[in-house]
Amino acid sequence: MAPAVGARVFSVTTAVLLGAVIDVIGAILLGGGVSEKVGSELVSGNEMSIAMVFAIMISMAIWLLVASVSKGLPISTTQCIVGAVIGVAAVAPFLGEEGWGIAAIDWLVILQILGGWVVSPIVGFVISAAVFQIVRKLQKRAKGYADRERQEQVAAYGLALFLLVTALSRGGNDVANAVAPLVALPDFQATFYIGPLAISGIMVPLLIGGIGMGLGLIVVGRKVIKTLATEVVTLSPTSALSASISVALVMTVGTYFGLPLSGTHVLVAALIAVGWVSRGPIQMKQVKDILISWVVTVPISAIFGVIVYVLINPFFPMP
Amino acid sequence: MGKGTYSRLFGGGDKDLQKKAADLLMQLGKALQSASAKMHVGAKAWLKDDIETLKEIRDEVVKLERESDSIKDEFVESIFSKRAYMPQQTQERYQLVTHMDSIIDAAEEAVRVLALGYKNKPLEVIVEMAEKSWMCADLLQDAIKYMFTDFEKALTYARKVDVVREDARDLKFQLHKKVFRGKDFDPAEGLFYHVISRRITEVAIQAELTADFIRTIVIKYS
Repeated sequence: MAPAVGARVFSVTTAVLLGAVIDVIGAILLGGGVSEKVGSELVSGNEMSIAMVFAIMISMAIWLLVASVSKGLPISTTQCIVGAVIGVAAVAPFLGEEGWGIAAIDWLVILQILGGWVVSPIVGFVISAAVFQIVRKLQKRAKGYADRERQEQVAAYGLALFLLVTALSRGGNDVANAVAPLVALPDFQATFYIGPLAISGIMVPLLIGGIGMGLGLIVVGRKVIKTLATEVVTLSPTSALSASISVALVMTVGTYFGLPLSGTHVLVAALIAVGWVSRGPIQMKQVKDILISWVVTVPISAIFGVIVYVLINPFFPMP
Repeated sequence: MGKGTYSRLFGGGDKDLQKKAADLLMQLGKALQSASAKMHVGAKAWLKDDIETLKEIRDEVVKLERESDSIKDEFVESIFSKRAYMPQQTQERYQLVTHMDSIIDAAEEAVRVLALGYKNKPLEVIVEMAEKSWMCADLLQDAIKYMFTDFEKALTYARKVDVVREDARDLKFQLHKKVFRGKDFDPAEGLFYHVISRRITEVAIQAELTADFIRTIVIKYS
């Protein structure tokens, strides 16, 4: 929703309310495929205890909240969860859990995820720059200000449509990543029956995650939206649309194939791309802060994972 | 949902308001041309020692200036605040309206100073300056018209404003040289000619600033 706010198509309030609703729908409709990868394959199929799952989720939430509330930094939930899982898995043997430790982590999967984090912003940048260049060429057909106003108006409507699509796929991707440890639990492998209605067990954490994400967007996310909308580049409806098309394409394809892409990385890269193509000012200090936050997210989440797991483990009896 | 709600949600704008804005902009443009033309006529009247006509013209230009202020207020209260345009275009249209109003303000000041100093010896170079300033406003009006339909033509007229504005400035310095280096004028007259030349060329300067703004818009969108 940040591009629409940056282009002043939506107010921040409209953006967070719309985004919240769409995230829930996206989580339920599209979240299943991604969860299976990040949840179980990250730790070689080992079953995580409830204490581990709680520790991962709490440590993830702490860092996400700290980064969002303090500086409005757009943090990747995928990175948070990977870091937290690494931290918890590494410290588990010291708390009596057998079969865990660094060796239990599937480093090949980590490498694949890391590859996704590196590739997705590059792809986002390139596609966004290419799309915006094409759009600018088309815009040159406008002879006067009245024509350009009409173009921006059309772009504003197109932007709103694309952002709905993006929010849907992001709901699927991000909520699924956030609740991935829960999805791996046996409690949610069963099918629940409500009368004649059969609901897959993984829908429960996805629904709760979607609602939580929606609430988080409304309460905390508005600061992050403001950072991305106004403190990286200056946006118009056409440049915001170009960036959003790029994000929607990359994320929709990635979600369909179950790849744990980082929507945050793709979006930031796409915004920088349109700023670069239009030769507008790019707030490099803000970009640097965002990049630093991405680099430190995995180790910080890992550290939080260790601390939280050590603290809460005594409250969960061993089976 | 009421009329315009969908437009308000996505910032698309109300068509009726946009039509009203176009009419108001035309009125403002006519006021701008009229004020600068009357300033030139007023200068000619002073040269012919027709002080009654000069004072009538002063009153007319003051009235025009008040009307243009009302048009500007109408834009803010009835058009821009009602989301008739996308936010960025609202800002740019507001800047254009403010620039145009500044030219009319400058013309009013010039005519009022002319009317105050009518007892001084009239000089033909002041009439020439007023003519150049009027030409700047006239060319600017074309630049504004073409800004909406043809960026290239808008740029052409904007450049012409610059050229004529340079002529006005040259005339100003011609006058200054005559007044400050010659012995034909007492200090009070010298001060008056200094003030009136600044006031009259201010119309050309404001026209040039508006033309620069139009060039910025054209470069931004083309």
